[in-house]
Amino acid sequence: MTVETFLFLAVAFIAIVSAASMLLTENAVHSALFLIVVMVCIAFLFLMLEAPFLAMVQIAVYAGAIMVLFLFVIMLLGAEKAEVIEPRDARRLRWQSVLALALTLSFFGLAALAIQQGNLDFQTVPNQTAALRYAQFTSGPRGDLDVYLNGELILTAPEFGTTSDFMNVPAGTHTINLVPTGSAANVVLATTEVEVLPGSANTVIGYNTSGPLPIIATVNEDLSSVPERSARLVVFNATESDVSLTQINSELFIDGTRNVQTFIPAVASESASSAQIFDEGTFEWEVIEAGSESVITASGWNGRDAIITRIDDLEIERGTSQLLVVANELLDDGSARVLAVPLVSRADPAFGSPQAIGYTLFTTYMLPFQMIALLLLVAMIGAVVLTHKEPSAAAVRRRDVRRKVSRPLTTVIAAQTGTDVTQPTEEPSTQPSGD
Amino acid sequence: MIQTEWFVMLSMVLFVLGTMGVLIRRNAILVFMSVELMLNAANLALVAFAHQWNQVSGHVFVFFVITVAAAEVAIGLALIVAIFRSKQSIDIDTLHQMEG
Repeated sequence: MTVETFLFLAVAFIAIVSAASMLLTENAVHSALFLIVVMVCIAFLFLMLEAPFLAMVQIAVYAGAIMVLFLFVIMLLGAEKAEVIEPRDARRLRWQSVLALALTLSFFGLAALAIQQGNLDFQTVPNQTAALRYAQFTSGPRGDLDVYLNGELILTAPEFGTTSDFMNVPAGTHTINLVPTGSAANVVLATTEVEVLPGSANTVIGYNTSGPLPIIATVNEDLSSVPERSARLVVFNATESDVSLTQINSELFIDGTRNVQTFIPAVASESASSAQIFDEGTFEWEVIEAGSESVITASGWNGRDAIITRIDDLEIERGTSQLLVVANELLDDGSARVLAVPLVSRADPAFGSPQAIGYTLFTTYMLPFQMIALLLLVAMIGAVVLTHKEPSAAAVRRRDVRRKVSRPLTTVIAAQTGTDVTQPTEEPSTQPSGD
Repeated sequence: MIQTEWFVMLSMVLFVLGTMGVLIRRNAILVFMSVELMLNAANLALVAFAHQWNQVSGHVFVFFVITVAAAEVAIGLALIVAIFRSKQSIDIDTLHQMEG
């Protein structure tokens, strides 16, 4: 038996015993305390199910707020022993307890049978959609391109270095066509079949090499959660030479040489590197020819020729997943330059974290969230209205009577000081007439 | 790794205990607490399935259930206090007439 199993069994046992005790004990205060134990046990099980946020909410809201409210009302009403006021024989519906017990036990049997016989299917993957986007890295004199997904126009003449949003597509095989802008849909410059797996995120990149036609490649992006304060970086090399990604250390020219560190070595031509996790921050990067690291490090500026392109201030933002595309941009005069463009997307927050719940709450479930907020407001007003006690007519009269018989202040002072302050003094004459 | 069935079974046991409390106990506050137990059992099943499918929607539902439970408790306890004022009792067997 593993530790986890033992913990589950222990907590489950405590929860069931506490729940049963809650039903059996006569004193309502004890019942409330037993219910708190059950709720803390359930919070513990939430932790085992990777729901730390809900576990904390469970303790704060249930074990804290709701149960304190219960205890407060029990104490306020003095209702600890409410059930023993009436002798058992005098109760209406005496047979009800027996019937209730029988019915709940049969319900228990039925539910257990349903769970056992129902064969809960935990194999089928429910998420059959995938995310797909197109990133444009073709350019040059041939002009703009339109992008067709399964024969439907999805993008018109995207700019170099831009990407569409992720589109939800059913898993399976999809066809991407690149067509010159303004041409008919059947004038296809480049086409590819993309196989997308359920739940995956795919970036389709169209780019140029020295050949006449654009090329389409697909990068399967990993958008799963990243460690705290870090981000994921993948390099896609759309040029014809192998490249490495180096970071320039802030302390340049130590001992007369440039101090560089290679982070992603030797990305083969027209392929993607493996994913690397980086700490957040803003850094200077250089894309260099693969294998030239030693040249640059050892010989300082002599290795300048090996540097393909620089990336100033590439921001590694926490919780993101970046795809850095190194691509040729063909200029109108026929020359080419290499650019490195980061495509930043949000990595999924860790399962069960406050970020994940908040994101789902404020996107998919925004309307229910608002409704719940309204419901809480109405409940609050309702509770105030229900417990508000109108002062009865008799109470109002009593209050008025009390006011009438209360003694004037002067007589109270006279009684306490022993001097008669009710005697008229000279004060009225000395006061200004306008007072 | 504990199987989801175990959590669902535990959830069912707690739910049945809550149902039993609603049907058998006559103290209105106890009935309310049993309803809370049933809601908690349902929450446990939701979180277990959310974990199984790696879908955070289940957590959002639990969030909603907790909110509704809080609203329900506020109204319910206010009702109990109001009833206690007029009847001097919160035994639900004495609440068999509709006149105030």
